[in-house]
Amino acid sequence: MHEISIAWAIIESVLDCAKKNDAKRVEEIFIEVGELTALNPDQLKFIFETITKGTVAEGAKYDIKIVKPRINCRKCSYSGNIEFFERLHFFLPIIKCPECGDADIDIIAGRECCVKKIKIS
Amino acid sequence: MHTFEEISIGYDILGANRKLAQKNRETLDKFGITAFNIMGAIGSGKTLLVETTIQRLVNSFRIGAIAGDVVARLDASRFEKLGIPTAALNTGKECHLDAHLVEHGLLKLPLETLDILFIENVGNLICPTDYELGEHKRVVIVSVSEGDDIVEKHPLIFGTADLIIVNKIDIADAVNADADKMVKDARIINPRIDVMKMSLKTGEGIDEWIDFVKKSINIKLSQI
Repeated sequence: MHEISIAWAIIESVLDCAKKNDAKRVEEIFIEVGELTALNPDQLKFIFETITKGTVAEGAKYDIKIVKPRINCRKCSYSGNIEFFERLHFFLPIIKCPECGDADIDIIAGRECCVKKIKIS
Repeated sequence: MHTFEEISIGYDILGANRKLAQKNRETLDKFGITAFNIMGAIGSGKTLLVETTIQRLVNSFRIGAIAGDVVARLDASRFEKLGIPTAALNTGKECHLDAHLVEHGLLKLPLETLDILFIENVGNLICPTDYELGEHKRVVIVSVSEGDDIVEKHPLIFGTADLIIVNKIDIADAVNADADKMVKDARIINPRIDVMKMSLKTGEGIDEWIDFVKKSINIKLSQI
């Protein structure tokens, strides 16, 4: 259910862009999904294929890139990837600085769900 | 022959929500309002928590509410009955409130007259995680009747929460739930989180919650 509203928002922006550029077909859609969103790319793809039927984006290919989380630490000057720790029996990213271990950080990548560009004909 | 053209879009749906949430936050700050995003599964006690808080604080603070109802105004009317300005948002099949809906809600409220805003989110422990609304405090209420593994099964929502309330502790034995395990699991997932046990029925823990609300308002006011 959650992926549906996000998929709709993506396809609406794609169709809007295609219309503005007089596209006959949308050939490929390039999307970046942050790992921290826990969105399922396969589910997104399935929904895209369903909701684009009958539109210029029907049959488009999907290039979905997963973006690894990156942080800036406010305590030390670390800027970069984070490490994932396994806690109990579930896999959860514990967001803290890999350098100094502090949790006072800014997440600069990994929370996005972005339609970057489309290829049209 | 087909000619292909690449068109840049660069539209981040979740980033757009975050920007709008920031705008909501600025609106709330402008009017000196402290906003609480109340999240939790269906039946965990969100509405009763807000009702109870209104009854306790209505003579000390000016309170407003935004209530997400799937249909009609069932939750919203419970707040309205207490004389509180309430914006009802119909969410339909949506599994979470987002900043856009809350922006509409804020337009329906007399913001210049309010100190506190309670935003009651849709009953869901998964989807509201990604959607900031502009709130100052994120509160998740879970009940022992959901099973005492409910916290460890939904780690993501607790990672961004400020407070978790373990509710209905008066019936923990009846449903074979270990409330202390739920508290412990929350602290493992997010060592910075505040945790409190509560029974909205017996009144246990409510004083502690009211202190949390008052402390949040004072911190907010001291930052202006």
